[in-house]
Amino acid sequence: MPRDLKIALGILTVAVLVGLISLRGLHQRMRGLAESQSSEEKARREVLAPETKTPTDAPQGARIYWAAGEDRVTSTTVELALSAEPVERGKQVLQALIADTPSPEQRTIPADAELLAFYILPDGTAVADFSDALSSETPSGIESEQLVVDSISRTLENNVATVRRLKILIHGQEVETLAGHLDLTGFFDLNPPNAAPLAPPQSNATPATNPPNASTPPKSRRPGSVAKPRSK
Amino acid sequence: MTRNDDSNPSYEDRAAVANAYRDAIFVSLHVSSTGATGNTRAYFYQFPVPFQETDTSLASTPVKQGFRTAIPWEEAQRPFADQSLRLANLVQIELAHRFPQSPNAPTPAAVRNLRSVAAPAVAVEISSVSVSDPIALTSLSGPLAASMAKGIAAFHPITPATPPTPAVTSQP
Repeated sequence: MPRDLKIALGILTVAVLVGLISLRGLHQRMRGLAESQSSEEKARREVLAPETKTPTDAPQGARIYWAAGEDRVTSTTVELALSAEPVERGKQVLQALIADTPSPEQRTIPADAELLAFYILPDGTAVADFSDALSSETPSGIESEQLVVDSISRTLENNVATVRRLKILIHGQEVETLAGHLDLTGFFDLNPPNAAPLAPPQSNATPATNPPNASTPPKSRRPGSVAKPRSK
Repeated sequence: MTRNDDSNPSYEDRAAVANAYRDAIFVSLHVSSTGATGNTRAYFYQFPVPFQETDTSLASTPVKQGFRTAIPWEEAQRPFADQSLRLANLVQIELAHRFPQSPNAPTPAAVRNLRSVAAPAVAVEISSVSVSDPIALTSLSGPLAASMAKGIAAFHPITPATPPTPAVTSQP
């Protein structure tokens, strides 16, 4: 092999080695930077976030649903200053659900997740808009995603009497799934224990178990259920 | 199979594959990120309760079950909800028999993969990818397959004669 070629190969080998070493360091620095940015962002949000306080706030026992094992949630009564106004009350309990988790094992919503907005439509639809972290940091899986939705919906329905169903948005947008499995394009039923009775239902309360029946056809009330023709 | 490799077909593509078959059963297999090894659950799709409040603007025409009556693509699973529940129930009984830490009843959940499938459809999820020894997880594949096969076999004889399947609107 010519001497020049040997030298070129040697230089190339050294360059590749240096590149690999520096790439690893670069990767580690990027990870560290991302983590510190995430922590800084969280700290900044905690400082800047307006406290959800209203003139009607009064100390009450709020029932917050945290994880009790891998597959279920259970309520813990927490003394909170809760508003009489349903929207503010909803914000307060959801913020407590995120921020006041008693232990890491009981956490259902990722620590970096933030409630960006919460409102209740006149028909009782609660809309909870979370930051991207809810979607990106929830462990992917049907069970783990269901746990997140259960904790949000049960916390809301047990503390806000006017809510009837829940819509979850991520950063202001409807997304297809929470973390790859659970459908977020529809609504989740909420059944507050002290809710005023609704009009007599025309179908069973558990439609998923109803047999298809031509005489009592299931009704779709979901936006987006309009038939769309296939484009060819 | 809706895929044979690491490709990632959309939910609509997967449903379209299933909906192209007559008298099909759709089984979606998952490995969870969390949970005790061997905890196995069968899920069926749970639609929300038809809303009774004042949002009349959102009401759609009731779905009819008659022959060739189109149903929305997003609602394709709805007419099969009862059959899916029965299938999930039979599969879960078998899973609980082979995986004692599993529940005895199937779990209702809005699993996106199932929503547009116009056939009895279940998702089965086993725990978990976080297992320290991967062999412990792969060794569960035999009992898992046996549970599903027995559940499906038990489902078939009691499946009523297939009603005329409503046409599903084309996927969006």
